[in-house]
Amino acid sequence: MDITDITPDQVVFWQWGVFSLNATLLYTWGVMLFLTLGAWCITRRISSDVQIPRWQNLLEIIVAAIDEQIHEVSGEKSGPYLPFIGTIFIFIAVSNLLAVVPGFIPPTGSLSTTTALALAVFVSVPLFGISRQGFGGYLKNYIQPTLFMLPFNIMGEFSRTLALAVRLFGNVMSGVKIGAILLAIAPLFFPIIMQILGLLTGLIQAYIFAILALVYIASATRAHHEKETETFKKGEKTDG
Amino acid sequence: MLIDGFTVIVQIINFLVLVALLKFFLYGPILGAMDARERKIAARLEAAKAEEREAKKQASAFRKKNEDWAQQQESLFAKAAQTADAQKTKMIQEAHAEVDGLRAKWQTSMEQQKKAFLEDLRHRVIHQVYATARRVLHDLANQDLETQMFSALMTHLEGMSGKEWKSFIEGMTDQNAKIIIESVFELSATQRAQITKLMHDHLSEDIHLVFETCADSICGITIRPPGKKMAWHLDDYLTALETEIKKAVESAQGVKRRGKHKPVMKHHDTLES
Repeated sequence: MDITDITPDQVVFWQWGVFSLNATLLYTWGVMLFLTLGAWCITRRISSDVQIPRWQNLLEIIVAAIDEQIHEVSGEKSGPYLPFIGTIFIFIAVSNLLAVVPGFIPPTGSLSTTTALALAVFVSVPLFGISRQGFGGYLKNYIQPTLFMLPFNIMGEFSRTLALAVRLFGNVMSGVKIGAILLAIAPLFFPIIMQILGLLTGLIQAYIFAILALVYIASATRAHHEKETETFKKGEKTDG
Repeated sequence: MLIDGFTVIVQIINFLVLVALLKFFLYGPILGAMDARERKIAARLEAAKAEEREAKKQASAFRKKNEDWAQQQESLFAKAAQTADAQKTKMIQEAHAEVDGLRAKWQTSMEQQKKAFLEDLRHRVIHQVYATARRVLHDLANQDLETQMFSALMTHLEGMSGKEWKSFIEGMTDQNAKIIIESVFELSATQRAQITKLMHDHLSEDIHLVFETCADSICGITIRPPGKKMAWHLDDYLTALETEIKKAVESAQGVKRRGKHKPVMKHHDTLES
């Protein structure tokens, strides 16, 4: 990958027609393999006792933190959202953290990847909303508070998806590029600081992406949840 | 173009596959383990609570038992003290009774010994006085004691007034009744005739005299009309002597008793304390 290559999609190893094996796909599979093998190695000897292996402890901390975060934001049990939101966070975080490995190109620095993730969020929001509220109930959200808000709501859906994709791409890509540029200008000290900063940025970006996805999904399901809560409170008052 | 359509599609597929893989290899096992641990901890907590409840129950039961034991102990101590007091009182009473019994027995024994001693002394004194008097009279005055004694009796009888004779026989209803004359020595025929004549002269010719000899009798002569008795012997002197000796013995016993009484009283005090 050259400094002029703005995205790893442009690093193509093999191509046949529209099918091409580029760096984005290759490193994505690498991250997938790393995550899957790591999870499998740690969880194949999983223990439910009080004494547990340290790697299992690490995974439990991560999963418990994600679970708690989902619960805090959505106000619901994390069950249906955890695999989706958790995978977004872990994939982006690991991809960004592996950027410190020399020669590794984070797939999150590809606009195709961020777009794919944003599209996944874009599709999942109505799916979760419809699964919770029903088709009609979900669609009613688009005409809230008035029918005139329908175009703006639809535009909002698209714009936030675009913002998701571009924000992540821009941050990761810029971080990598700044690192490369600083390496060329001051090869001794600044690249290390920028790499460390890049790790922090990468984790923050993963967190932001996952949280925003969760907020979108939660906003799609919350209306129904709030209605249920209100009904429950009314029922309590009536009973009381 | 920054966005490659094929890459986007493949990345979406990759992402979905990764979601499935992580759900299968990561979230499922980890959440399952955490839930299992929570259940285990909850079960342990529940078991611990149950054990705590059981322990509290047992502690309460033990406390109650201890209180019961303490009460029983107090009750038993009180009962034991009461029994000991009763036993002590009983033993003291028994000791007193035993001491009293021993004292009474000792006193009885002393009385018997005293009586036996006095009796023996009386006999010895009688014989000794009698023998001494006889000997003295014989050796110094060439006189016979029995003869002199009889003479003195006769003198006394002859000197009795009519009123005294009347009083002497006032118990006699039958004129033919007999008067027993008891002597420690055998009266001679002359002496018998003298006293018979005297009786006939002062009383009645029909009176029948019976002479008896009694070795055990105190030295002297005893005349026994029915319902009366007139003794002419050493009895009064001996009785006076006996009284004096008794007084002396009792005085000696009194000193001994006082001396012996002290330890008994001391012993009594010891029991009381």
